[in-house]
Amino acid sequence: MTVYIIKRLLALIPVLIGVSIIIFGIMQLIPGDAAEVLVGTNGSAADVERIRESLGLDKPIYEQYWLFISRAAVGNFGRSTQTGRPALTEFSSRVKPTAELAAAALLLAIVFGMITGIVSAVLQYSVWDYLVTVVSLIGVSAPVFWTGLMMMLLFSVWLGWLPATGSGSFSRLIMPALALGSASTAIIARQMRSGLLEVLRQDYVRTARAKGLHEWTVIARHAVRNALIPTVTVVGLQFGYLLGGSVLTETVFARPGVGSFLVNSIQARDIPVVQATIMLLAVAFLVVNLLVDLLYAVLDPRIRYS
Amino acid sequence: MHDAGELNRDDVTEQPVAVATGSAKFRTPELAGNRPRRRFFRRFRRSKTAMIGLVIIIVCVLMALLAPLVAPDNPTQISLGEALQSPSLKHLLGTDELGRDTLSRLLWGSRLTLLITCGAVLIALVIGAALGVVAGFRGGWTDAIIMRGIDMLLAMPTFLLAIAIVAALGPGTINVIIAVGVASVSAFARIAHGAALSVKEEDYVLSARAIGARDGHIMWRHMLPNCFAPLLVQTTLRLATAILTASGLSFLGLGPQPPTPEWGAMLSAGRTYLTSNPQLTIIPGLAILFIAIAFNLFGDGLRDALDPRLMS
Repeated sequence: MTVYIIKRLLALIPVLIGVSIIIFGIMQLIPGDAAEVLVGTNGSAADVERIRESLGLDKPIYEQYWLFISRAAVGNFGRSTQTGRPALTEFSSRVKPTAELAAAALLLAIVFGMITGIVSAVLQYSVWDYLVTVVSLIGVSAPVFWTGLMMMLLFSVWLGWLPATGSGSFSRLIMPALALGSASTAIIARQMRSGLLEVLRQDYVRTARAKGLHEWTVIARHAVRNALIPTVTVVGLQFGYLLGGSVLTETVFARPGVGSFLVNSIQARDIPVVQATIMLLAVAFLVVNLLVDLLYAVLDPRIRYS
Repeated sequence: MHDAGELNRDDVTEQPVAVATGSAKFRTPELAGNRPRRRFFRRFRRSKTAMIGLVIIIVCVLMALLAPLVAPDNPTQISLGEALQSPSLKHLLGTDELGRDTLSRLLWGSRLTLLITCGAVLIALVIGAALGVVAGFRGGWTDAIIMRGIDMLLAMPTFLLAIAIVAALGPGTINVIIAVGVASVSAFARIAHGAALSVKEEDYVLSARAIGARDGHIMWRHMLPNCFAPLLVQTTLRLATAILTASGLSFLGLGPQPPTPEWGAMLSAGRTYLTSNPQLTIIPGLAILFIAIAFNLFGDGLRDALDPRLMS
């Protein structure tokens, strides 16, 4: 297992290099002179020249990339053009609310998604099954920002149960987490349902029933565990969606996280911060999916990594 | 934004896909006749949910095409004296903060919303299918280079990738189409690659090679049509994802700029008046929801009709 973890960590390196090339390449698409964009309209020609030199923009493209990647490897993504502070520092200071939001949304999605998926599969073709199917369809089709606004309208404006915006307390986390997690809940429920329906047809489930085990014991001990593996894959992939969705959710609920900061930075054309934020969020996505891969071995004893 | 397909959001894995095989459906038309096609249409028509999806899509497309004829007002006509009106006989869905008729903006907005969505998916389909088929057909280094590149793209969450592209290109309709299109390429490339790998060992491809057909001809004439089924399913499901991603970008102010009517931008502008005029937020959101549901239902129906083994 240790060897496998080391191998997987090493395999991350080319992927990270690839992601860095994509992000670096995308930033080359900025029309006109990037130095002028960074300096803004108030900067002088000398400022533009200084920025161009400090970022290596006067060098060939491959040297520029090398400069970018070698600095990024030690956490140097340049300085925010808005605050003058290092981009990494700006990112780090806003990670906590976003991590809280993504974790809460993922937790809700896993708990609700699995429960509803199991109920839906076990009671196939019942009213509950149809209800879960319809709600799941709405869940995956509704824009996350609209779901958030509708929750705000219902729970804050009309019922007055929850605060509409802000962060820092549990009550301010509930709505954003529910809104962000709604689509993932639906996807996990659908995956759990189809996975469980597949497993329930297997011989070992029939054997467990023939032994006289209680139906819920058969489902909990024999069926659900085997249906978990594809579901866990989906959970890992959902983390990427949650990171993207957090940008919209934080904007809707005015939460001061990485997502809302990214939007502000895009509007301010703060390229170093945009570059750092997207790169680090992509790294977080890759690391979570590595952890998901490692979780397979825990869930399925047949999987042994070498 | 949702990879989602959300139904099939980012969960694009390279699995064996339903492609036409030499023995069954979707062989070249002259060999297969039209019986498989009839069977497909019969299966598709039997799916009530898919038909509901199709009807909603047709209504939306008609709405977009006929907007100049059926919209009661000019969607950009400012009339401050009529600002923020509730629904009435004169303005069936009320007016926005500048007194513009919400129904007219919704109808005209469907044009741009559908254009962005379809444009983005078309870009993704063309580039993704081309890359996937070339990689699958050529194999070796070409395959390795293209597919590792696609893996890199897949390593980035779709919405973040789209945001990064728009951040670089700047806000605007065309840039959103490009951003959402490029961010969706990887899904199509993986599916086309999987399909191409299955198809390239088929007798008709081997025969074409044997008679000396050029690579480009084999890929275009024999392989691409036989990768059609999974790509078609992915296209419809991706439309749902693309509309959510594109409207998300518009919501953030990165899409079409005012006063152009577009559903995501309308929703974003309306949220300032969530308390006093909630219909400004509810209506465009419902429009996005319905069309996304329709694409998902239609895509699921197509998938089930083309390959009943995948039926959920």
